[in-house]
Amino acid sequence: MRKIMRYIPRLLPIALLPLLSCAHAPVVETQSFAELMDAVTAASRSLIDDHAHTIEELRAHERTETVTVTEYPTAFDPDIARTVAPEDPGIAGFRNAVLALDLYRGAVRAASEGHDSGALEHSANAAASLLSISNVSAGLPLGSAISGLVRFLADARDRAGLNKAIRSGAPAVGEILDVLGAATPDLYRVRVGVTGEAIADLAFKQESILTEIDRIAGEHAPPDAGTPDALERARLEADVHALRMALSPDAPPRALPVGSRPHDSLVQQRLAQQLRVAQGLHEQQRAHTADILQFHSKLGGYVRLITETQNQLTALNSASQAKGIRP
Amino acid sequence: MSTFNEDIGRVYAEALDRLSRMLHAPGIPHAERMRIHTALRRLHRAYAHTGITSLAERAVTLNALAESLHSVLGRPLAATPLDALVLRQAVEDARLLLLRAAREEFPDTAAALLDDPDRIADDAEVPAALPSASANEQHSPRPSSLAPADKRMEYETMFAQCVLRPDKLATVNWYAANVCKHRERYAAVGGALNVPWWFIGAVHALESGFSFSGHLHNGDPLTARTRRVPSGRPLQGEPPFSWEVSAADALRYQTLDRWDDWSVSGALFQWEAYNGFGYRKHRVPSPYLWSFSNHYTQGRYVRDHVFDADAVSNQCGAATLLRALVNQGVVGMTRANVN
Repeated sequence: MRKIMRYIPRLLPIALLPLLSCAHAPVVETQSFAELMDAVTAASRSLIDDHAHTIEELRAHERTETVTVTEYPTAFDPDIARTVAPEDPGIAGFRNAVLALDLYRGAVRAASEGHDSGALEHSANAAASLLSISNVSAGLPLGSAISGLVRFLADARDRAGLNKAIRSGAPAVGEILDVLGAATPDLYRVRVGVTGEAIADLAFKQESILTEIDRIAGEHAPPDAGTPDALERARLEADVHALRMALSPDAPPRALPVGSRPHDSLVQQRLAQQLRVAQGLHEQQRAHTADILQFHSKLGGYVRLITETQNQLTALNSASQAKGIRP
Repeated sequence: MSTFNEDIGRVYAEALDRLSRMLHAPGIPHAERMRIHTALRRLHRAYAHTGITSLAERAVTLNALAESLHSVLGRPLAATPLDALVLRQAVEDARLLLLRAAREEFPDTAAALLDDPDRIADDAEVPAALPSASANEQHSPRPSSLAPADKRMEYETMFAQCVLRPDKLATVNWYAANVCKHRERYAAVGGALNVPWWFIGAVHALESGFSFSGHLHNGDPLTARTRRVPSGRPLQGEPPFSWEVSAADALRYQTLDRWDDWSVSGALFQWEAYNGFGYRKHRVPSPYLWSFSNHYTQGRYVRDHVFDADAVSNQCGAATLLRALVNQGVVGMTRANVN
């Protein structure tokens, strides 16, 4: 019931279409809506591609955990090689949804621009073709909405049919947009989880290196004051502290430990090398963090775009009339 | 009331903050740091998976998240008592979150889950094999209201994720077309017993290949009482039997006339019960339910009590068939019921 209530504002204008006056949807509105749909589908594709890449990364993480010592397969199975790994069903479902939105956008544009029956026939054939493959995604949350929308479009082989398809498809488009919007927290969780794991690995390696630096430094005496090595050591201490602070802002400042063995310039070089490796890892960590922040921002823009498209969809329906959208 | 996203985000953030502080704490032995690192990885992994899976799967994955925290709690580090307290609270939050997720998605299971959240993963309620023929009318009736709580979640999740195998689409469509073709005969038998026509249709397809000359019990010919399990059916009347009389007997024998949960999970439970729960011993999704879908690859009983791990079912599973009927719009599906 709650779901029905949610759709009433969107469905009501469609239900009232036959009762509305003869004013039809202005061309500007349909064009603007089609442009928004362009943007939504492009952004969706980009997000789905990102997500597919993230999933691959996750699977790669999982695969490496099953490998013990040998990091390559010890046997070759031609049957496995012949099998093309199917795409993750969830991703395939979202791709189909975006394809269906594309078709709907094409239908709206065709209606607003007054395409001839040949062009409509072409669009309908494309929809029918999609319908024939959309069963692959059957059973996914979007499956029925996609099938319904594509079926409507496949039936639209003349102008009247097209107008009917646009009106009838609107609720499904709204539902798909809803699902795409609702999926954003999931997409974000996947990205944060996968990137977070990479960050955890990098943080662990940096801590291990810092521990090693402490161990090495703790075996040798510091350089004599006033020597070039002493100046280098001071820089090293400052950089180590800066890295510690970056990893854990609460870390109390402390000097590197010192030992009883005589100072050795080679040892100091080893310390500097270790620190450079740790700093490189920290740069990678910062890049991952920036990546997550950028993705967060991207999702924000995506949700706003979806909301705007949904508003336009409602407005378009309100403005259309029983005869449908005219060029 | 906070949302699932907010809850899971809060639990994750708290655990991440605590574990990160532990990872960077000075003076931690390398072995301990490695253990914290592993816990962190599991935490991130669990969080990522909550985005991938459905709500039901998310709930299960949260268990992994809780376990990840448990592993830290079970072997306390050089952490302050406050650390342990915060972590214990995070584990408890994860458990409550798990319950809430399950309760919202599967309201009927809430009472059972509230008693013991760990029952989600418990497989102790798998019923015994189907009653033997000798038990006849005296066999113990199966639960007459709902499928076991743990299986409801499993069935609904698997059904939601069921994808028809592209290479079997034509065959599945053939099955669906045949079920629709005989819909009125199934409805005539099922109507009086409150058993949906599509449920009977799937059993008919699997037990006797849509033949109306065989018993619905097991496909034995109607010219005599059944010989295979369950044997000697129907008890009343004399052969040859009409298909309708035999079908009604089969449904009553399975106590389906006393079953009123025709939700996805209720139907799938009864189908699996019809064929038997033996596949669970072999950790193979029952082909009686899932054959021709993404859930099933191989392994089947080639005859009574003989399981062959390499054999592949060549029939369309009942759940796969239902999935196709729902996809085609022939059968409607709401959260509560399939109708």
